[in-house]
Amino acid sequence: MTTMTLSRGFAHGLRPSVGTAGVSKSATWLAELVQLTVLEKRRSASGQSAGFSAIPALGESYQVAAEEARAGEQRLPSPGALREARQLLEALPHWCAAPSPVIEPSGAIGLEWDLGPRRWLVLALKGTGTIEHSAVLGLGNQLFGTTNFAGALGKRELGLLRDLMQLDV
Amino acid sequence: MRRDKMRPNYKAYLPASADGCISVFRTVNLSEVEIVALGSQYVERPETPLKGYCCLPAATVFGQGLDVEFAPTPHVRHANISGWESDPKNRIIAKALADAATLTEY
Repeated sequence: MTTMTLSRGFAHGLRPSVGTAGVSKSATWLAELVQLTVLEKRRSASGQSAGFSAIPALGESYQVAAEEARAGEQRLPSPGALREARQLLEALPHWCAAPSPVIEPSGAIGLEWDLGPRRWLVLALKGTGTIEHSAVLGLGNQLFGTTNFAGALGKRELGLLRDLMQLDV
Repeated sequence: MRRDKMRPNYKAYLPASADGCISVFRTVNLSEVEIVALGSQYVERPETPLKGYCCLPAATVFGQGLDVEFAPTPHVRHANISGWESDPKNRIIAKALADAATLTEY
């Protein structure tokens, strides 16, 4: 048997803040995130992107990652990765379930859909203008790769999401 | 950690770089108390207290095409899981390991 241990995370409530000189880009981004959360509440009734509801969870994941980064166990996402993650969340179609954000050890931001056995997808962003996909869609059907990302979902990612949700759109 | 499914998230088994490694301890023949003590002594830090541990058979690691390399620092039971390739593929492997693992929460 092999065993690994898990660091204890913590949950922070998000508090509105004002970006000022000397504040890091990531801190400013968190302030923007709060504004987006408010925006999400306004838009929820209109059936727009399902990804908006994942934005608060992304903020919480970032806070946990920041604590782990201080212990040297984790890299923090680059401002570019945070921007791309927000773009991807905004671009998710309304028929798509909301993903669970995961700040990976490398600092990549993964958006994970774990919908049951063999229905799993991660779209990951690193702030490099690319999007990585890793998916298990059916028995023995493992799909992975990298494509360009310019703020909108490509055919590949939309196809994976469609297969995952088992919807014809 | 996925409390609803009592197993770790794939992130728990994902290396920090595409060709990196995962730090583990061989726990065969160890009691739960001894496993907790290992974690407390060699892994836990004040800023990141441990919240549990997860176990899986080494055969599962080998079955994914990975290796377990003994690395007896800081402890004779310490090892590294190596043989990772690329991030997109690593996530699928990490997911398979997480699905096979059992999670024990403190």
